[in-house]
Amino acid sequence: MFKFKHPEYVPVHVLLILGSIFMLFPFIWMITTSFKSQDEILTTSKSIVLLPDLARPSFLNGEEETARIERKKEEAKAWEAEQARPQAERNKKIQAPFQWLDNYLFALKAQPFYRFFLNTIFVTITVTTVSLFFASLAAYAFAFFNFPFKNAMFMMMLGTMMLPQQALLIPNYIFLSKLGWVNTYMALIVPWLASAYSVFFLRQFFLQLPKDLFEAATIDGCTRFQFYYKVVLPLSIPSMVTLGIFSFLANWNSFVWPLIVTNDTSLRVIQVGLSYFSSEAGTRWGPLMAASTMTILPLVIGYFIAQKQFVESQATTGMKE
Amino acid sequence: MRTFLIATFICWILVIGLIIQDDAQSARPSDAAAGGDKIEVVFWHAMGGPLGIVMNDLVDRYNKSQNTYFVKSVNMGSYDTLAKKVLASLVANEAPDISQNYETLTKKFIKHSKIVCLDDLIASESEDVKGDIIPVLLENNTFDGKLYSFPFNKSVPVLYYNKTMFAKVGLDPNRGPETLDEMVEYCRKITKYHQETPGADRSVYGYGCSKANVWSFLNRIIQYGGRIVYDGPDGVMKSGFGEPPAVKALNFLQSMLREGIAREGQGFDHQNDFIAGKVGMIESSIVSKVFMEADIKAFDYGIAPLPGQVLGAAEATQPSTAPGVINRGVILSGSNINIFNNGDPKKVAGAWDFVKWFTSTDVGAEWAVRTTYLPVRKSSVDSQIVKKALEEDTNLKAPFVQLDYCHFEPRLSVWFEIRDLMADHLERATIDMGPAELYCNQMAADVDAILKHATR
Amino acid sequence: MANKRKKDWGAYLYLMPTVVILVAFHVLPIFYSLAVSFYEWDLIGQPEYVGVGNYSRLFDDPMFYKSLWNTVYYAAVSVPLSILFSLIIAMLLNNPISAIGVYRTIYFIPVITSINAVAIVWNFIYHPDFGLLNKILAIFSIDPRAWLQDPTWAMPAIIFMSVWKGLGHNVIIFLTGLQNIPRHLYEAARIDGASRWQQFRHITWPLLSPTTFFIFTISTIGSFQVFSQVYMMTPRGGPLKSTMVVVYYLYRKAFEQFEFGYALAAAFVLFMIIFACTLFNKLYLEKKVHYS
Repeated sequence: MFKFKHPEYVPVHVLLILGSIFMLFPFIWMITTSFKSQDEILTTSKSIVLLPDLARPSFLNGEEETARIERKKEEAKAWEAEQARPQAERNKKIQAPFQWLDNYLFALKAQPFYRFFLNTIFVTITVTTVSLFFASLAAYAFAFFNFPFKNAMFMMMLGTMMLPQQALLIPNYIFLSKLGWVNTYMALIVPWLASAYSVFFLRQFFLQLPKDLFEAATIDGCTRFQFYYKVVLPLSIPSMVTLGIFSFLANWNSFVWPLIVTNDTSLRVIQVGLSYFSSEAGTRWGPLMAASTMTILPLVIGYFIAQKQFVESQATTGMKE
Repeated sequence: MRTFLIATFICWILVIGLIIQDDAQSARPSDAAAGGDKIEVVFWHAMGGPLGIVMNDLVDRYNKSQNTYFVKSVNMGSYDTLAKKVLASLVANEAPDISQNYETLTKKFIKHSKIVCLDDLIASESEDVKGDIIPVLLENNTFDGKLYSFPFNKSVPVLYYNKTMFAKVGLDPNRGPETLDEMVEYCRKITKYHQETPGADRSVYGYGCSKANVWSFLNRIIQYGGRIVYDGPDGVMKSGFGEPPAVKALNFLQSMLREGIAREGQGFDHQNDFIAGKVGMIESSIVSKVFMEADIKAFDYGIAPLPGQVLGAAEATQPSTAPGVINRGVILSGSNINIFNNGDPKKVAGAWDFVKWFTSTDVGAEWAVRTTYLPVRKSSVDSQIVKKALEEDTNLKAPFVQLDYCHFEPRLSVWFEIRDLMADHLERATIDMGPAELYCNQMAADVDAILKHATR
Repeated sequence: MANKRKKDWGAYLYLMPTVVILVAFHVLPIFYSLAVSFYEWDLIGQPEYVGVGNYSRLFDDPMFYKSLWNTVYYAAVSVPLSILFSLIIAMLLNNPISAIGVYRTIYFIPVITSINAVAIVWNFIYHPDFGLLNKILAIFSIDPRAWLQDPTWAMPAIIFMSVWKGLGHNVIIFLTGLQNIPRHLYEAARIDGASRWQQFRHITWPLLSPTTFFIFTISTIGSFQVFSQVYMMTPRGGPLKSTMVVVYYLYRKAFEQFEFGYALAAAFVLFMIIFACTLFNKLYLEKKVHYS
């Protein structure tokens, strides 16, 4: 219906839709896989079919499972019945309302995802907000001031992005250990409060703002900080939101760093938790896809909300002179 | 914008609150008891999934059974991750008290005095611990006559076969192939049946394995009566890869691939194919059973010892071989544990106490039955628990049949590098499909070059 | 006004938080790594000084050169492709069409997903037997291939997946840049009779150049350090090591072969190469960038 209002945009829509299919098809596969049982996933013909077999028995409560539970119970009597029974009961307690939620429940039970989720949110929000603030200050300086060693500082900053993270793991770990921060939230947060990427990004943006405005304002008695706070920041909301999204994502998805600097399960973040579904003897695809879907969903929703912010603030900042 | 920022702030405070609440909730009474007087022993392992359930179960039981020590076991996910974390933590002096390790790492730890020599700990035991350990496992952990690591979760490869498929194509469903020649025959039969029978799934084949599988190749070399690494005449180590058994081993795989009765996949493809009923036989660790059994629903499967090869008099040159009988060759996998020298003798004592308990006759038997890893003690093998389990599930017998034929991979500090090199050559061998001698000779040359500069 | 002559050290107050943390956690480790690259160290024992031994060994190391070549191949193909496609999509999205929020979200979803999950999904897609790609190609009568196991196709397969994943990221940045271009310039050009292509060449492209410069620089720096995709999708460096890139090479040297000093020497050579490229970018290409 919308097409007919602006027929000149039909080709645009067509191209975008084609592109969308291309962007989305792996995810459609991922989500449908999260609803299937392991043998459905591994059987070639079934794994391509998008819809899971809705008539399949729940692997959490199917007959085979009950029979296995019975057998294990008898084994347990030979050892210490108390030990095995809680496990059998735990298995029984998982009442899947629909069998296609099997994998999700399994994934949630396998590890304390709730805690991983909390940890990830806490770390990510902290790092994103603080690093953006620090980066905007630095970018402001690079864009508007002239100071000694400016170019050298800039190159040094860019330089920090050029050595692969793997090479920095060990020295950072040693340093953190000396600070006593290993296995604490500090290790997850502090090193990421500075972001050369953000500084570079914002500097490019700030450089496009008219310099005469700055000179006029400072001559009129406005301090540099006031100019930053009253003029530059409001104008840069769209960029800050964009950068905020990137920073949030980078931290949400970070894996290697949290893996190395934390040991306790109570400090684990989501990505590290996800990696445990793959092990030495095989991958449990279903729960992995379920956990991955659960991890992505909040991000997609969050992004949708955030980018609406972006569009709204575009309308109100009146950038186009 | 302002509202968004305020909302984010509120969200942040909320999350912090929830974390604090979660911390308070998860401090269980048993942990509280640990806080005060119990000595904490940190144990890092890579037992996840169904293995992790058993591990956690046993650790809990140990912690409840005594009041001196509290074992904190942390699952690091995979051996790869575990090794990385152990290395990183050693550099920063934050090493755990116990961790699972491969022999290569153990050698490095010995060289730099990072781990405790277990002989000292065993010396004060009243029972003859060493005498009760399965010989090959003991040998696997003894370096220069001293015991530096302890067997913990060792496994053997076995042959998984699809009983239902065997019956369908006319093979005896209760018997796996005993010799390599038989295996080829079985593969031919399975593939032929599915190619020629109308209505059959034509993509089914006889034997599946993963690409560049060094473990499988090494098993095969031993089955053909060959050797892996040995001390050469001038004291320099040499590899056996250029010798006839190795060539035969590679050729075995190549010819099956050429004939189309076997296929190579990536990673765990062969396991997945087996679960999906696409392949008749695969060779894999006995531990894979734990991961596969829940998903195998469409057919009956059997577990047999790996097939061997009947050697002629001229071929049976290695110590463990004899002409005219089936020569089996099985290489151990899995890991042992090291106890680290962290300077606190109480923690070392605690670590040893836990390991001793874990591998003791009854607990060890339980671990073995529930996870299919080998029991460490001979007394566990003979225990009621194991005997009963073998009666109930004949599939579990295969690892025990192979106990007498176990070998382990060379314990050199350059072994990872050599293994990687071998994988490269094996990969090339099945991509290019040239004559096997070509790749074996090249492999031998390259490996010998590394061995020349390697210190033990 | 008097401040203009005096050196502006006050600016450092603004830089301080960022610089302190960067120095502590990013710069100092770089110097530490440089220092260790002159030693041989297996991470367990004590480091042994070897001077430039690691570097000279590196220059004779055919696998290092192969990994360098693979890395350059990856960067040279993925960066232009990514810029081209993301620019096209950004320009499409820059129209006042309905459902724009939905489209933007869709194009951004690959970026949101972690590389771990994406790699697994794409592994399946590239699977020779039941992968989606071969099934789709079969419709066009193209023979199936083992994409990730074929020495010729493994790297293109990885490049394709990386471009797919990074597209949304660059689209967003280009969009921001595009929306900064004042509308009235286009109106004036249209009134003057300029064609779409001319509008692009004379308005869009120049005014977009700060953004393009940013994306080009960042993409280059990033693509030279590609690791996760290769690690997850083609373990051991791919068929005949065709996807062995420098960072994966040094990762293995460090954590699997216990040659930490050697790995750091390789990391440094990579660093120098990236630094040189970026410096070249900044000195020569930035001159062509139009800032207001």
